[in-house]
Amino acid sequence: MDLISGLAARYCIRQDARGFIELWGLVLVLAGAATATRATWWRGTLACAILLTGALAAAIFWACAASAPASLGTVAANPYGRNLDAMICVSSHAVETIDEWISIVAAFVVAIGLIALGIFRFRKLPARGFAFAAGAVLLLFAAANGGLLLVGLSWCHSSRLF
Amino acid sequence: MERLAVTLAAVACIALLLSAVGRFKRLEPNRKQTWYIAACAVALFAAGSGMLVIFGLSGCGGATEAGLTWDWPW
Repeated sequence: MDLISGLAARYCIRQDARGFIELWGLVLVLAGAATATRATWWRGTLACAILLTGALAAAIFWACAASAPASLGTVAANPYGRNLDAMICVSSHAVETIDEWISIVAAFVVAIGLIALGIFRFRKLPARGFAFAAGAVLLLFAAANGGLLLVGLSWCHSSRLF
Repeated sequence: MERLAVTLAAVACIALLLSAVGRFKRLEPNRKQTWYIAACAVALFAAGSGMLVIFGLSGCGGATEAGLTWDWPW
């Protein structure tokens, strides 16, 4: 790793350490739940969540590390053109993005769990009704948060609000 | 670094406590497995977090550089 890349990587880890530690905790909670369960479909759902979380962490780290030299003025030319704005948007709001992602994943996983309980475990109508209603509300919450996340990133990129 | 060491020590104690509950309490094998999985997850969390913090702090032994500031994440 050359000197500037090494400095950029350490800079990005220092800047967003809390966010990366939170993502690591989320991955371990999902992995633990996937290990403890025997239902294949549940394991698959949790494995998808783990893969997406890992992809988000890698994307945030890459956006920060690749754009840090150009945004700090340590290199003469910007090799990314307009994409630099998007990368700076992602890296400057990393912890907020990560916190929002954690709320989306948590809401989604709990919603799927409640709906599965309503289908396979609960027999009485009030319990089933509550499980389905709560699951639907949490799914709506997760979808709304996901939409807000995308809108926020798009707005930042288009308006260069940093 | 003291804060990191204290945090890692506290998390290690939690992991030991979880594994001790799984080892010494009279539980079904499935329940014991759950406690062991929780202990492993806590230990891995401590190890991964420690590695992240140490990597982020590496190379910070020299004089203070303008623009490269560090504050503990917690």
